[in-house]
Amino acid sequence: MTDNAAHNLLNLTLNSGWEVIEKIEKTDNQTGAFFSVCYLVQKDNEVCFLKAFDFAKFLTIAVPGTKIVDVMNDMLIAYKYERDLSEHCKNKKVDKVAFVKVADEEIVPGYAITIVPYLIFDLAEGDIRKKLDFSIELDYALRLKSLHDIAVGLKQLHNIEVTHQDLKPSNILVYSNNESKIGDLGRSICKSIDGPYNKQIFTGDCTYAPPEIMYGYWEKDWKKRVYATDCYLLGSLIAFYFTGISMNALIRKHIPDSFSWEQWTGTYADLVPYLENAFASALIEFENNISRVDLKKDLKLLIERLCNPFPDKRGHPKNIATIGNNYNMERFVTILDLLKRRAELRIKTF
Amino acid sequence: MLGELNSFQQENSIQRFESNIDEYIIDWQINKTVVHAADLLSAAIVNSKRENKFVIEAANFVLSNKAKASISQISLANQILSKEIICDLSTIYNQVSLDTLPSLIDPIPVRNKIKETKLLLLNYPANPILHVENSRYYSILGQEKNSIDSMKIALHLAPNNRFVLRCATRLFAHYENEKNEYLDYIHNILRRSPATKFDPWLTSAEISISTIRNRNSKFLKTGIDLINSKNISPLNFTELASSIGTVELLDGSQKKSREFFNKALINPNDNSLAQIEWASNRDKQIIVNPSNFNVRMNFEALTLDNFHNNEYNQALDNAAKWFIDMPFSKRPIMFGSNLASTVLKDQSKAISFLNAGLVSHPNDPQLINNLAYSLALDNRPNEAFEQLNKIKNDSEYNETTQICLTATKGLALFRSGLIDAGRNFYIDAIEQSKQMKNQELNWIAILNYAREEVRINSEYVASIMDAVSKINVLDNIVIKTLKNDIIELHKKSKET
Ligand SMILES: Nc1ncnc2c1ncn2[C@@H]1O[C@H](COP(=O)(O)OP(=O)(O)O)[C@@H](O)[C@H]1O
Ligand SMILES: [Mg+2]
Repeated sequence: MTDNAAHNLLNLTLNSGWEVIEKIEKTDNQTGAFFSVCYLVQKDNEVCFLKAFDFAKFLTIAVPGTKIVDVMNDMLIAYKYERDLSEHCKNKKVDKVAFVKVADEEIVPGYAITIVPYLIFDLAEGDIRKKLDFSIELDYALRLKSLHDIAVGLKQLHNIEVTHQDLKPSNILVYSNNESKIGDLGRSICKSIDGPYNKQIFTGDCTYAPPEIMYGYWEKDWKKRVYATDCYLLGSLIAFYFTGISMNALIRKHIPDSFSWEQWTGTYADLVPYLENAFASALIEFENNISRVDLKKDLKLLIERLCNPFPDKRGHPKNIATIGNNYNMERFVTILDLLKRRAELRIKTF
Repeated sequence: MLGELNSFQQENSIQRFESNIDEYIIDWQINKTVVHAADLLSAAIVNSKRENKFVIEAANFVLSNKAKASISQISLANQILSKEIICDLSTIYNQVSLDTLPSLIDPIPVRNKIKETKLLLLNYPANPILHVENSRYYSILGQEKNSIDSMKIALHLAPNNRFVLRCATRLFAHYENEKNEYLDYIHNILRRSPATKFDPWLTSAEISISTIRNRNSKFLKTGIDLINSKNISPLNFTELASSIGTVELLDGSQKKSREFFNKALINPNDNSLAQIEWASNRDKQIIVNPSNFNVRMNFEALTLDNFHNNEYNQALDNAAKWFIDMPFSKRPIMFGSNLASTVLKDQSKAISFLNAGLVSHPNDPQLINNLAYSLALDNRPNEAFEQLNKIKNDSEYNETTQICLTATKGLALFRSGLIDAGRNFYIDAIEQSKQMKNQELNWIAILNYAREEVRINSEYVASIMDAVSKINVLDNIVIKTLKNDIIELHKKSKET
């Protein structure tokens, strides 16, 4: 696999003038479905993050029965989508989302497939997982600041009719000034740009998918479905920041095996009480992880609203009352802002 | 109970997304931190990949770095390694043993559980499972009315939910007596529920209730059709087949009944096996050996099985589970306490069982009697009397219980040093049991009395030992044990 061009950019100076100075290693394995290879690149003393698209890899993970040209096409759409989307977001007051700085392609001779399209981004310190520490007393101010940034970013995306669909810890980037941004727009859905996944029910990472997707009882109304998904994913992120595990894991922990999404084949109505029960227990467990008395209740309420396993009950009650607007981020941004300041204030008075 | 927590029909045809956790494994291999480990564990539990070797490695990593992990991360790691069992209705039993029984039936935590559930109900007032749970806690406390009321609420909320209906059926059948109409009530609900027509577990419950009430079930034909429809897997129709088999057997059509029992045996569960075993006593052509089937047996069956294999301590633990499973039933308590008291001669274990039983059956004369008996045997006659004094008017109890109470008073008096008075009570009990023509009770009274005389080496030993020698029931373990113990004791007292 590492014979592919995309894996061999190290020490090259690209046509765009960027010098590839370091490869970010991922120990590959046979089944892996990754077609991005990451590098650090440098130009005029600025170090950036480069994501190269491994076209050759895409061929090897093709689903049996599909045509290679179709696979190539999907791949191109995926690349073009991420590039054009960044363009679409630019100049639209979207500052909490990690944008593409440069989009270009490199021809690397000597390989079966010589073309390597790539995207260059501002370099972050890493994803949020590197920043979260669960030893003794949690850093509430840091967490709430980051979550507030992300909620703002999500609101900005929603404002220009983009839903992210893949919000999860590994896609939250943290920069040296302690700012967090939403990264990896590869799975997002934008109304005005044809994406690789627009026709799918759910485009993100199934591990983080909301329960209605896990169980296969999703909302038929496309728009409602994708916004409800983002809403759940934001809540799940909050759960991760404070418990260190995902909301799905928290819920799954409390569901008897026979009612789990892998096993359940009965009706939705029969499932409801068990899911309600599991959710109630998950909320209690979430609360047990939080030692700050002045934040406990509000954070729990936040999760309760963002992550309700029933999409109709998800969102802010005041939004739910006004039809068509269930999953508006505005109120959640305000709440997180308030909590962030409450947490910061505590630090100062100590 | 097994089977009712799963579904029998494929109703949502949409395929679930297949998802792999490779990406998380790679991230964990590169970043050996608790956070990355826990991200992998999250992915593993969500995608049922708990057996993956990297997942197990990550779980162990979290547990060996507890200082850097959150409560949920530690708990998730434990759950992945099966060190922590989530307490839901179906798994709580794993934690029950005779040692933990006192804490489980301690009324204070049970009352706290009720409080907790009530708090949850504020948020989810319409969640039937919470009401079922409350019903169970009330039944542990012996609060029959509250227990029934909670179950009725659950039934109103989810009149078609299999789990609720089956829990209710079991509870109502147990509290049924001439003075109430519980069986009527649950039978009506089962008959009215549209689910009974197509859910084999409910059809089976309806047919069983009809059989208990000596009625013809309107669902017999529906049930037969369900089994023949080929849409339902053998595990899902096993109970239905065994209840139809029972109806046919009681109607005298052995050929048909065998046909249904055979279907039930394709993939049986604890209940259908128990039913078939019962049938095999009536129809010798039905031959079953439960140990040939790999089903999780119910606790009663396990207890009796342990007992027959002389695994007595195991039997006591399973009796404790049996009781927690059916707190409204006195049988596990009577069984466990008798076994502990007589066969194992461990009075403190017997006392544990009886105290547990008295929480759900306060003032029950049989339990009080057995408790006083164990206390007296443990040389705590004052406490024994304290128990016996709780019984104000023993004439309202049945004769057997009265005789037992008389004998136990005799025992407590003996152990207080009031020999003559004790002797009088024993003689009374022995006389009454003889009048009642209850040979077993008569022998038990004689044996207990004999032990007391032998212990103090009184002038009556010779004549009472003569009576003892005439007792020869070898298939009753209690009598057999009592008798052997006395002969031993007598031998020893002669030697010294
Ligand atoms: N701009 C960046 N700076 C530093 N690290 C980054 C940057 N963008 C992504 N990463 C790291 O690379 C990982 C993969 O990038 P991502 O854009 O999410 O691609 P993928 O589609 O492979 O998930 C992220 O989880 C993060 O750790
Ligand atoms: Mg990503």
